[in-house]
Amino acid sequence: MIVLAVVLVVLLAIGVPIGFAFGLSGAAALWWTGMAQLNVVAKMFAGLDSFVLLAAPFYILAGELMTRGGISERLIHLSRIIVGRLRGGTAYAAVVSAILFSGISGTAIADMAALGQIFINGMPREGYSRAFAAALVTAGSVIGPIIPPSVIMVLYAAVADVSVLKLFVGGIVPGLVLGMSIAAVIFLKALRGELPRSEITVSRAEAPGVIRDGLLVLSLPAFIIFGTLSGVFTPTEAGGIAVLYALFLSVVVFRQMTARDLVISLRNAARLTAALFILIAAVEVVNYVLIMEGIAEWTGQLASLFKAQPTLFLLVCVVAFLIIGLALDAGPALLLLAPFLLPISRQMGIDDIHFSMVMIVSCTLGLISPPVGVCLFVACKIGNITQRQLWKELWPFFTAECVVVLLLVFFPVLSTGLVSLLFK
Amino acid sequence: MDRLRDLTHRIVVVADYAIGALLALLVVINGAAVFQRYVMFDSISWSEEAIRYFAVWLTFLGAATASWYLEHMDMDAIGEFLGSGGRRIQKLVIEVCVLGFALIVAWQSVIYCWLNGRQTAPTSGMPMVWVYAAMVVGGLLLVLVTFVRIADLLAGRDTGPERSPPA
Repeated sequence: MIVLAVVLVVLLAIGVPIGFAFGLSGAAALWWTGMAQLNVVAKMFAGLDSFVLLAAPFYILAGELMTRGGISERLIHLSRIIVGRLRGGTAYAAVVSAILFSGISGTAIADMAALGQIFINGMPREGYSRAFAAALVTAGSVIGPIIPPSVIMVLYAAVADVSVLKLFVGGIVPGLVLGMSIAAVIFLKALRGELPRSEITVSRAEAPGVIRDGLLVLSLPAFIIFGTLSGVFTPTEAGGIAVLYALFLSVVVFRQMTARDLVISLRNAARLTAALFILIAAVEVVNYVLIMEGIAEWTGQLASLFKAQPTLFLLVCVVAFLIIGLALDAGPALLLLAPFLLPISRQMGIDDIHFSMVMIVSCTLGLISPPVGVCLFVACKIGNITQRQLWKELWPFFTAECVVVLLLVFFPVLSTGLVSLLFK
Repeated sequence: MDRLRDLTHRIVVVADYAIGALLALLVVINGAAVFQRYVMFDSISWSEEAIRYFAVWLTFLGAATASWYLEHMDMDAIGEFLGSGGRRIQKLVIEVCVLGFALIVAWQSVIYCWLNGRQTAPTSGMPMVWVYAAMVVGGLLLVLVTFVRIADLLAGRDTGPERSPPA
């Protein structure tokens, strides 16, 4: 186990791609313990041989099609109708857009890419600072993987053996609370007069069309949730149908998708899928080594240490996830930790969805925490600002989102309430 | 070397179109399965298996193309502290590590195919060697991609325009 940890840390620190670092450190540990190298490919194949996992490429592709098919502009127009007239209205519109967009995209990066170009470049024209706009969109991107559909939840469900549908439903309230926490920071800043009043760009005549288009787009997440809840199709099948629906909207209704756009979307989504799946496959090698080296005994001891204090266990986990998030991206962190921590939380009687939500939200904050938060890089690139400038504006939002994590720890009903309501 | 780089780039582009087509195929099979079940009241028995196995091909081919376009996730904790010379050495070390992993995958998957290739898929009855071969092909493509990158770095040539992903 020590060889595995040392090799993994060294490879990650050098900058070896995370999936390959997992695979190579697993191979090194297998060699060190005298186990066959054949396990590398056997476990990688086993890690990929899962139907649930296959929802991920479908949601990635649906998000890609929606972004290229003119969906993001329509959602932003809709958000401006809802909240645009308030002081700091465009800032609120960015939050509402993040919430709406997370209902059709599955990843934080997709949210950043779609909303970043528009808000980070557009808000400074209304008097917002470029760093504030970038910080706002970065904070909002965290909502993407929490509100369904969520690629990260699909991957998590596959490795942790938790119902992906329950995770999707469980993510709705925490996602909305995250949005409210960002809105609270905007409200405080607007109250102090730090934010300008917005220029509304949607006229009364345009409004009905904008609302109709927005509702057409937003019927997608509703369709996924209700279709899967009613048992009409599995989450994976729903993903495939979401792709066809996104294609229908982009090509037939909005007429903004060309054949070239479609081919590029397919190629991009396929490469992103491969990059994520190779990570899943390689994590399986690491997990195999850890199991063979007796991780279960270690986790059992850890469980007995926290036995009477599940809340303390959750708090320790949150701190650990946030620290790990400083160095490791949300996906790899979740994939690596979930199979071992979930059994401990079960032993303590913590609800699976409660623990999963705390874990997923905490790890997702790693996407926006310095120095290696991937969303930070995208925001700095779009906004042409330094990480220091971004962080100066981002920290109040980050703090508010950390408070949401604490709320999730202390109030399990936020994660489990809707699940209990819909699955009884 | 230029000819090998051009050849690698062409192979990567073909593989990139292939994984795009595989993803489209997954969507079509998935859609057909739902359509058959609810409209024709007859399910396609092999659809789930086919989707899973095509995804294995997509993953291993796509891992190599994503490597060519430098799209894999990494965390690079030391890069910003290095000068240009140190940065070049760092990139070389990274590529050598990836090459090591690619060689392990390619070689071990040949053995895996040899040992288990005669197994058949539970539903379709297809020989599993056609599925396991994805690891061999993807592993070899990753070896080629990484080898070219190492040769380029040794020759002082870094990322070129042909490495830009389609946008």
